[in-house]
Amino acid sequence: MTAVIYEGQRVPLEPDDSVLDALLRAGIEISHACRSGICHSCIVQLDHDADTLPQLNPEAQSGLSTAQKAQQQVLSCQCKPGADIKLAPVGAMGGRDTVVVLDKTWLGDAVIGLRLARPEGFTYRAGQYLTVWRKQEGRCYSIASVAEQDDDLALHVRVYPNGAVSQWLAHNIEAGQRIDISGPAGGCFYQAQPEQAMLLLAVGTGLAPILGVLRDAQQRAHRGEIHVLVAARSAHEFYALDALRSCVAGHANVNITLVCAAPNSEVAVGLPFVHDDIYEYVQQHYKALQGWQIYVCGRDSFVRKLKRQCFMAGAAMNEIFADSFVSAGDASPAA
Amino acid sequence: MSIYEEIGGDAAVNAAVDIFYRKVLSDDRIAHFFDTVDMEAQHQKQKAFLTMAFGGPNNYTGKDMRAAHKHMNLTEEHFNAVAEALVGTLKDLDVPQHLIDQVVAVALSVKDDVLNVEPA
Repeated sequence: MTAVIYEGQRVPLEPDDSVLDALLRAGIEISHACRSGICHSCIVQLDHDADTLPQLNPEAQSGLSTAQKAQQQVLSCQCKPGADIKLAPVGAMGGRDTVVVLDKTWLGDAVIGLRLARPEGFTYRAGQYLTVWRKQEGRCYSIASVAEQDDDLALHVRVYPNGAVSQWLAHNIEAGQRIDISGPAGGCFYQAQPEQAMLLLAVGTGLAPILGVLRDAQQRAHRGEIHVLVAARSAHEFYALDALRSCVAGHANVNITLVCAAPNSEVAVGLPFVHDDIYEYVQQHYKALQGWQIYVCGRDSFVRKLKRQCFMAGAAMNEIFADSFVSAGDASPAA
Repeated sequence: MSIYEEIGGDAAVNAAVDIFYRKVLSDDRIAHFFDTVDMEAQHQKQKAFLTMAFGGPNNYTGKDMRAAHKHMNLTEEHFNAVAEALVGTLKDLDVPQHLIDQVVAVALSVKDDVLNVEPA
């Protein structure tokens, strides 16, 4: 009999059962509501390698975003597999790879750049994140490199005074040593139409995914305007300015502006620089975002506010991609 | 043909949901119910609501509706605000009046459950 293997537990499927029906009957707790594929409460994730992906009925992913499909998510209430299928809760899967640290440099006051050897078969999109493990302690960091251009994986790590993983990376790990990673995950990667206008908003190490998305867009010959706003409280927090400058050189469609909250903190950056509150600045300059694709990355409060602002200014919800960083503990990027 | 099919099915819901969600977030009477941390989840709920109001596939029961809204202490004013947003959205999309009337009828059919009162 066909079965669902959920987190290793084998659950038989009766004829015409959805995956959700079978799991609930087996007493496995799966959140659910409408059972019609609309509410998205019951999403789970395939737990198969890329070369053993099962055939899915079209309803199983109907209405899911490109990013959700890329992460092999399925609607358990709509999924009716014809053969055995392995599933797991969203975000719970993937083994670890041990990789060599190729390079470690200080990019800013409290930010280190890591270059890691990319494991065989590690496919990703710039802007997704991976998890770095120190024994059982994992932290997520967004990927700033672009798979088609860079041989290595590039991460920006915010070093927190009491960061269990970031302090260890900053002070105990040197080039040549090995660390464990898993992933990638996340849906914040370039997926615009070639002519579409894009607005990229970053604060702090939100710059890592934003740089990744920007370079990926350029690599894919994006022709529409790309506006990048990098926000900081004071000027010394800006970093990776060389990388930003090289994204502007020779690309007339790319505008990068540094938006600095504190007055009188000037730096010679070679990029447009304004003193303003980022929220005010976006409000003033981006009043009509219909048809734009938006990326917002950085600390949680920044992401929440700007996502809402962009949506209210007319950006479609499914055109807003975000990575929201928390400083420790859970499965969101902690960069 | 069901209202859902006549109004344009899933495509109509997709066209309506952003407009509707912007309207409720702009309405001080109800914005606080919708202004939560997880915009995507909230957006998905709006979509489920519109699908139901448009007569589309759903398996909500009166009991579900009561349970989901009970803790919010909703009043007639809140219900009316959502109904106005709904009608405004359909008007923005040039939906014919006779279909708007049917959608409003669906919304009214769950009113007692949403406000957690006994049927009149």
